[in-house]
Amino acid sequence: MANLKSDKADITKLYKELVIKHASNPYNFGSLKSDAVRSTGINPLCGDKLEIYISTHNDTIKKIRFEGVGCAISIASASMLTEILKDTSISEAKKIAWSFISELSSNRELSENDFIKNNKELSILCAVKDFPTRIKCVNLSWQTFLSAFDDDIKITSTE
Amino acid sequence: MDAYRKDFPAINQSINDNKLVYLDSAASSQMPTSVIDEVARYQMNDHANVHRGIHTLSHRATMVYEKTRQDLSDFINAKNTNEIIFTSGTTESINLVAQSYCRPKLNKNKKILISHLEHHSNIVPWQIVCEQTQSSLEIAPINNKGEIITEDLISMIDESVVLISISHVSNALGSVSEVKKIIQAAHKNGVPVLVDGAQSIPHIKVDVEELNADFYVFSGHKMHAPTGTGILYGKEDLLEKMPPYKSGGDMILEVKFTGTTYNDLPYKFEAGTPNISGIAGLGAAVGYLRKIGMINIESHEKNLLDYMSSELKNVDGINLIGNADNKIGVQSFTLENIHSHDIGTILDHQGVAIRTGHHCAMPVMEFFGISGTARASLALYNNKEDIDCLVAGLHKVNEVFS
Ligand SMILES: Cc1ncc(COP(=O)(O)O)c(C=O)c1O
Repeated sequence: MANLKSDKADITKLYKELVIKHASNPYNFGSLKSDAVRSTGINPLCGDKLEIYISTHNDTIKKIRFEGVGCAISIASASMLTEILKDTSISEAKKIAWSFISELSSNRELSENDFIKNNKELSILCAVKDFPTRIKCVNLSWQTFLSAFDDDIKITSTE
Repeated sequence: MDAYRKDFPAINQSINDNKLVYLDSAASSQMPTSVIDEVARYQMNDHANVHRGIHTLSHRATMVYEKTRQDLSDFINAKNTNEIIFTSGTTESINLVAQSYCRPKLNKNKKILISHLEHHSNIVPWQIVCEQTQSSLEIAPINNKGEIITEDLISMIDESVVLISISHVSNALGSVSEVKKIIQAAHKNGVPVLVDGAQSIPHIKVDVEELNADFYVFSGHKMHAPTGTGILYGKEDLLEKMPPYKSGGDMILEVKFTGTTYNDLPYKFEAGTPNISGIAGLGAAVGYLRKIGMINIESHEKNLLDYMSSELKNVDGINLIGNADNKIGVQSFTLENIHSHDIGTILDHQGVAIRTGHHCAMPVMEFFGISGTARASLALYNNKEDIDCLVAGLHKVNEVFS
């Protein structure tokens, strides 16, 4: 019989250390007025839906909020996103989002000066890589954020 | 029944250093060794194309393939093997009936009648064919227990209905529909009925003659057989009159560029090389189920479901969704303030496999005002210990979220 010993991270630790804190009391939860850029993301597999609102001034993200329904992991990820990207320039924010999304789908070693490596919460969240069925939940908000700046994408979908 | 557990290699393994507790058989059930071995035996000894060769292997492959048809015909009490069409699964069977039986009969004055309880694969093929023919799709309501309201459905039947298509057992809630009563009422109005048996066939004795169903469809992979196998049972006189649904080899008698003559039943509907090895496995699965006896499976699972539903009530914050008077196989639930995917992940960490989300039945979720549920579903190999592990796992979920 297959009895593969696993060396996976303990998912309950991820929940306890990080996810529940954000999910039970997410940062920047809510909407922004109509002048903000609005981007919608859905995860058809679970029916999760997320709206991200971004208000910029001089190429800097001044306000960013989100609302929607989702599992604790996707809400926590969105909450972290808003905290991290607030007050950064659009180009820097896009860079961070790209880097995080590609990190979730790769096995590369992060360089010492990588933003993700130096952000405690994001590097903890990377443990979700051990749980492939949940990577989409983390990804959803970051992809939705990026598509806000892409005129070709109306609604982001994880499928 | 515990003696049968050892027949299923897949359930005897560890996940995340815990014993696997497999409670997701409604999505796909595990295969016993006899099925796995039959597929391997066929692949090693008998494999060739069916109905197309005069050599020994082709003959053997054809024998295996046709024996499964006979086994299935006996299993559901069809009149003869012409009424058993091999498809890739429930989904294809429903699409076949939608396009071949219904489409030529539909127009803007005609309707298809389904219920609010259906799986997406018993909704979308009807939406498509209704759109193609400008006909309407009518939805019979359900009640708060998650049962089709039979009287309301019956009151919606009239001559404009071309077909009624309903599930025998709901995959999301386990509710057993009053199919016999519905079929009787439908036939009084001359309306045929398709029964989606995907969730009934592995759990209860199905007798298509006794039900008097016009079409009965199901999937192999939910009855301990390989994926990519399915059945369309249809009454012979209906099937006879239906045009082919897909076309190619094996469904023809003669091809000329001036015109083609179609083959007889059942081959008319089986164009292309089928999933022969899967069908070999399906035959073995039917043999396995008959050996145990559907009556025994049904009573074992009934006891387990009662035990599960009552044990689950001990979990803090739990809300059982779907409380039909007649229910088999599954229990759906939500936990207060915890998303079903988080429940699924933390249970998986403990080796407990359940399904989470909308279960391809979004209208049902919408009816209950939720985005999804956690669903534990049973098969003949489950036991009380599995349910105790589920309940312990749910206590742990609450603890993580506390
Ligand atoms: C009630 C019901 N109908 C139809 C289907 C579709 O079956 P398949 O995907 O095997 O075609 C399922 C499978 O989940 C089901 O439970």
